[in-house]
Amino acid sequence: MKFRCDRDVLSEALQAVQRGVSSRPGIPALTGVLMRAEAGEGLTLTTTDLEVSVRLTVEVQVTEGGTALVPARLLTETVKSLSDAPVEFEADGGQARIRCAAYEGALRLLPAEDFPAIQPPSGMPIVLSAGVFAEAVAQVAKAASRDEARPVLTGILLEISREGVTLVATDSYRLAVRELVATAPGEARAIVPERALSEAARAAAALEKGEVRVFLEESQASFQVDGLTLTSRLIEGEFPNYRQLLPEAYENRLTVSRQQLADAVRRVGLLARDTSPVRLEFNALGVKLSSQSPDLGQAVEAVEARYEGEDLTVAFNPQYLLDGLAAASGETVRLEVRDGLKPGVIRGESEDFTYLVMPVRLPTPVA
Amino acid sequence: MVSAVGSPRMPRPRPAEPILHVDLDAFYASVEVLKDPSLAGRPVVVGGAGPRGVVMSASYEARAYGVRNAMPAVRARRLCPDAVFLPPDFEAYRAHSNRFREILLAVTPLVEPIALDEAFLDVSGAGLLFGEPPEIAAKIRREVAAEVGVRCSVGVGPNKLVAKLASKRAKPDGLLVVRADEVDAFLHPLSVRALWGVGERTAETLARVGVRTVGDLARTPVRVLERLLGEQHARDLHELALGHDDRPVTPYEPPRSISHEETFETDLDDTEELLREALALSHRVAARLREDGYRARTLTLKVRLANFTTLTRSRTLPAPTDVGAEIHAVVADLYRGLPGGRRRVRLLGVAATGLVPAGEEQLALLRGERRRDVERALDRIERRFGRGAALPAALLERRRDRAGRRSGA
Repeated sequence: MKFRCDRDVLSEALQAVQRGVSSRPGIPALTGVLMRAEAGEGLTLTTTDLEVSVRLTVEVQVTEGGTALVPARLLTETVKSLSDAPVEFEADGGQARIRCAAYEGALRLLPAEDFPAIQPPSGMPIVLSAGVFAEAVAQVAKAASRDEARPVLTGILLEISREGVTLVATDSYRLAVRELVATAPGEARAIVPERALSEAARAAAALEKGEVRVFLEESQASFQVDGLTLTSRLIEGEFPNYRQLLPEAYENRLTVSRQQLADAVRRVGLLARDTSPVRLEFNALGVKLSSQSPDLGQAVEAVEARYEGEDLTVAFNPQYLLDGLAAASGETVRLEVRDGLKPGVIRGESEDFTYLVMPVRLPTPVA
Repeated sequence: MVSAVGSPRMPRPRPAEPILHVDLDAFYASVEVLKDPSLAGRPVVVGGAGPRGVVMSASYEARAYGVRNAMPAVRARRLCPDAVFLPPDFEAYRAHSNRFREILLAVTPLVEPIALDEAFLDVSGAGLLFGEPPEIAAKIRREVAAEVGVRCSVGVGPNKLVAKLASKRAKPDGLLVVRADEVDAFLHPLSVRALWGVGERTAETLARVGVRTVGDLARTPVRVLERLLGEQHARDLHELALGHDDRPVTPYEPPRSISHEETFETDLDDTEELLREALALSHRVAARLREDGYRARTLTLKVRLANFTTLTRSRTLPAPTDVGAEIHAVVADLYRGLPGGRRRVRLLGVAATGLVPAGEEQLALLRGERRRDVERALDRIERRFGRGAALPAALLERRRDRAGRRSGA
């Protein structure tokens, strides 16, 4: 195998596939990047950690086709540090030779036959705008669980129907739902690991315009952005029936500046830390936030806003509230509450995003 | 140049009466009325089930008939046959008590809880934030009424002795401030029985020499008292009678960790058996957490091998727990993550740290979070029928193993 290319092209490509490289070097082949060059097709780089694989094709001048498995981290570091000049790459036998300006290096190869075969995506994709896709994933990702003890909740549910795509995540304390309008070829449901979907969203966010093609298959999901394909295994299991968690309309509704409320939650929440919640007292003037912690102190802040409903006090984990406020879009948000025991609902200016957050029960019964 | 005197930056002088004693009025009975508002205005007595029961708490309506705390229930029933007698509901009392304590702790960290319904505060340092002690006392009374839903009485004085006696005098629903220069006038008319350490026998001994009031006691020379009561007791009582009490308000220190460990009679090497032992330990830790009213953020597994190497692994949870099944899931995961394969284990331990009061609870959207209710039911069964009366099914096996091993040996 032999090719020649621009340093930046190779360096960027290697960094793009880096997210598929295994961080646990139990299987040496997984620490490598599989490079396949073919005249007329360019250079294809593949990495996998068995959960997520990333494949990217770039244009280079191929003079001799072939395949080589090169230690990914070392190669990426090397290429990144080369001077800005054309790079010549050549692999045969047991090593890869890299020449650039006055530099010449030889890296020992890994056994390419140990690298797992990766199923290319198949079937009809759903096509989404890259920017919208990236935004939607970012809106729900925070609500996914980090608790490996409940694998299903560490994923994001992708639900595809005739009307479009719904993304859902919950860690059982909050639930985020985002709906996207799209033309879909059929119906499907899949639970994609949050990490994989967020990586795909990052790749999509890097594009200013363009499309993401989403392939959902029996045991894997793939996302194609530009020349990059990210494939992830799916999480098996039953995702909670989120529709039945979504409440009917509430009578108590606060309409408030998103920024103002978020700033107040952040400030007052400083004295809540992880141990105690922030209390929200809703009344005709808006909402009064307060927190106290026996060993730190206390804080209170009133935020003027429009409130329709009865006077109520509900306590929330401030971080959960902040995640919801950050995910909602627009200048103003609506926060709907029922009582101290039912979920609060955050909605932005657009109807396509819903964020539920369960309150923290206070020891005092509501008198 | 003349330097400014009494600038506002000068530290505030320590108030002469910085000690508060806060006592909830007829606490258990009042909570019962909150739970069932139809009881309002009726005589309510908590406790007194069974022929030998005693009154634990009586509403003021019941007290009007002469019912008192610690009175045999039989007598209470005779005095007030129309009273509603209820069994105690400590879970509810603890929940209200937690809120009560939060209100106090918002004023100062120097809170010494005496019981669920009673605490001392030293507010010397709280002046800048909340004002003079009488203002703080009034604020506490307002907040307790509004947020706990129970009335309370507060005594303010130069020390614990005076504050405690003042709150008693203020009952029900009152506030009494005893200034440092009013202490003698306040204490002297009281019976000696009002003082700590004066029981029936001491009172009789003192009465024989004509000492009946605190004033009498204060005027009696210590030497005389020493002959009657012994040196130490005499001196202590005389100090109290003079209104001297220098015991500090000592804040309650919450426990830093709750842990259980077990050293096995013979080393264990079967993973399944070890995980079963871990399950038993997890449930014991969880039961302790629930009993003490805490939840743990961090769990630690400790494994001591046959060669005395000790391995520990910790994990911090997304939300604090007091549920045995959750603790076990984490502990089992930590165990499986230990390096190496088969190991001979001499000791297993489970520790819970990062404890937070259980009063506040992050509610969950999804069911399957119901384990806590199941385990609380187990707590009640154990309280009634003894430890091990009800067990997770996985632990039945363990008990059988044990029995088999023991009889086999």
